[in-house]
Amino acid sequence: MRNKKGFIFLTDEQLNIVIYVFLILFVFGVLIFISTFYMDRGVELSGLDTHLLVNGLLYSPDCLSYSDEVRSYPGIVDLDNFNENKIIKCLSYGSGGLGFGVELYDSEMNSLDNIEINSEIFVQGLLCDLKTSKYSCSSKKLYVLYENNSEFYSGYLNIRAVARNE
Amino acid sequence: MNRTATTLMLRLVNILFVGVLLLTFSMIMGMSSIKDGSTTELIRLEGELGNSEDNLQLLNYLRTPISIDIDGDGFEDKTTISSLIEVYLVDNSDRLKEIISSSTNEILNNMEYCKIIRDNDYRRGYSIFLTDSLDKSPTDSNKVFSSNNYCKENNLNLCLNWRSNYQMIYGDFYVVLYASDSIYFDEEGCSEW
Repeated sequence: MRNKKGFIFLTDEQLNIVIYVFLILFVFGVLIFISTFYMDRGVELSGLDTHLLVNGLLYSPDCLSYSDEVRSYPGIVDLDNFNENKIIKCLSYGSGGLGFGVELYDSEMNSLDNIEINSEIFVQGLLCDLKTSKYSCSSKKLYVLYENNSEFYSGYLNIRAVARNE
Repeated sequence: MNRTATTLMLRLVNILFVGVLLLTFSMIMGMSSIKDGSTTELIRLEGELGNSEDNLQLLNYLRTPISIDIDGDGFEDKTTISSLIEVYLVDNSDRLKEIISSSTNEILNNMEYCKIIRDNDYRRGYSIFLTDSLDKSPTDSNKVFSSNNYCKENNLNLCLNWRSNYQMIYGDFYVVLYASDSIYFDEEGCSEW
């Protein structure tokens, strides 16, 4: 609104609107700042590959987990399932994904069986100690029971995984 | 702009302003709860991941089949470690404790393995603690069985250990699995790739 001299002046209400709009913009700015400060942080994902692999292997009856007519038993390895074809089918890893080796030992650490999936990636694990290596390696050893002819025995599952660094 | 339109707009802006203030307040409250977790985001993620695996290990430990002559009649009975522990908690006999101790130590020692975290070699060790309360510390108890490298102190004299998982057995008794990461002091490291 202009007065007689041509200057623009604002009524109280219009002035309030301007103040409120600035306040709203300020609050939005603070919100965006807080959001980025707290939420924009990196999460290290190394180890997740092995974790997902271990859980897939030990929890799924389509993988290594023993199951009877009633239920499956996560953590108990069915020796009949311990073969390459079964694991390739249950995990469906493509050739460009993860290379890993699974070795089953008895209670006295004698090797019972050994499987390698995606061998061309898994062999790169030999170079993992090198700082220039394009692969990251992780390994886990788990205490398991295994079933053989309806008897349960204690054993250990050694899982070593090699993943290409992104 | 006539007065009615201005008043209407002023009311709208007022409502919007109050809404934004409420939203800000709720987001800040939400942020503060996220902040508690965000400081240990990676560690907690790793811990949660390990829990499901250690849960399986603890369950397998408890259902480990074992053949021993419990009643001394010269014949071995087939049982599990959890059954032995239950009997031991009632009897408190030294013989059962010895059997549980030797079986458990053998299992825990074989469970140890080497892991690499950011160019350092660590040895994962384990300990089993039998307790009637989760608030009790393993250091005050004689019902603790540990692997050889469990909680070896690092160069800062720190033992990196944590309660990994537990299961309730026999009434109010718990079997608690502890895990530790010890820096490997040997210059050759412990990488077993």
